[in-house]
Amino acid sequence: MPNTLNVLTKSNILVEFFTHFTEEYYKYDFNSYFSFEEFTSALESREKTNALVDAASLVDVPPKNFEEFVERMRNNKVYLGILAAPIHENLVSSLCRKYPAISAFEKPIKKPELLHWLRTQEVRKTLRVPSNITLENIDFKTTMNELEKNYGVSDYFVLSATGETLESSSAKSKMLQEATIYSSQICNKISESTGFGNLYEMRADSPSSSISFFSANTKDSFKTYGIMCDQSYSMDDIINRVRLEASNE
Amino acid sequence: MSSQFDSVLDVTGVEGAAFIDVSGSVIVRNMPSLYTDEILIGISNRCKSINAALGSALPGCDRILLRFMHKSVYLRANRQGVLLVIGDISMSQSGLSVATHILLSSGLTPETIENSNQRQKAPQATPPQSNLSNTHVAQNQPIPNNPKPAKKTRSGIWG
Repeated sequence: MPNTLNVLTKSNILVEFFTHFTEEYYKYDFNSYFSFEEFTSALESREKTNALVDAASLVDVPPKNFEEFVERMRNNKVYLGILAAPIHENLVSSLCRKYPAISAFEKPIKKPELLHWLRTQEVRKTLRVPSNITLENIDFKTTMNELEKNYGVSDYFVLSATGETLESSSAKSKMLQEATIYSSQICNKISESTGFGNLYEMRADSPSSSISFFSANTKDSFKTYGIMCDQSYSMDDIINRVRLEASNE
Repeated sequence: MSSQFDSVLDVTGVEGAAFIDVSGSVIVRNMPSLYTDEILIGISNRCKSINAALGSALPGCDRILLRFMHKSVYLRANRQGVLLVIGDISMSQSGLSVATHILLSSGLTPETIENSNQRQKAPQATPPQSNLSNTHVAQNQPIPNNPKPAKKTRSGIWG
């Protein structure tokens, strides 16, 4: 699972990347969820859309199939992006060599550069991304605020390494904060009695909502996050995004 | 007996599963023997406390996942009790969500547990015992013929 944005490739069929594309590339994982044909068909059934493909999922796809895939995407005006973790840089490099139209950013890509590049592209619609999201309202500097607006996050709080509250969404989040801290103390008791080690993530789900309590490392320290979101959104995506942002702080 | 848990045990990273009824007794388990009933009941009870703490913010909470440095714990509750799954840190939550839903919605009811319990008691060739695997029905915990449904409390279905 890629968790960094070290390589982002683009081609003349245009590429567009949103961080919230993550849900898409999980679901269109060649190896786990869909066959290559199903993936291609699913994209072809949509008009003028985008796809972000995890390079890891391309490893086992025969080159001939990928070539055909690129061609079909081009014919159907599907905008294709390739996201690669460092381990798959060689794969992306070979794709760049094979398809001269694909070029790679210098790595690591900088956020302003990414934003500038995104804003110069034509496409605004993405697969299964809420229609209220546009390039203009994405601000990487206000992650939590954006999560609240666009990811179904109803409550959140952020704690420093010393337990100080750095951010919170509302008065209600105080209650969430107390409940999750109490829960983490109970988890410590479980850890003590079982030897499972320190708790680093707690998740609770109801049919409609999810609560997650987790830590993310910043460059110098770590922060603890508590997030409540609507069940129709992916908590994994949110956690990945928060951790990515924290690592850049 | 272990067939009841097959869908869960097939999920990547899962080491074992157990079902704990509303009275807090381990009814059926397929779990490495190092996880004693006492440990399982302790985890289940503490997760009930977590659920109670989160209850006001998350009404209807029926699943809890705890990721520790060395192990992961997943609990899913229904009216009959709590299904407890222990696995390594790679344990897939999405896979568990599907597998436990299948198990609790169709495969694991007091009736099927009781039927399996009776089959276990029937004379049969003695299988070799493994020191590592501890698959058994808790024989000292009789299943009532018509167990009363758990009362719905303010904290939801966790009892």
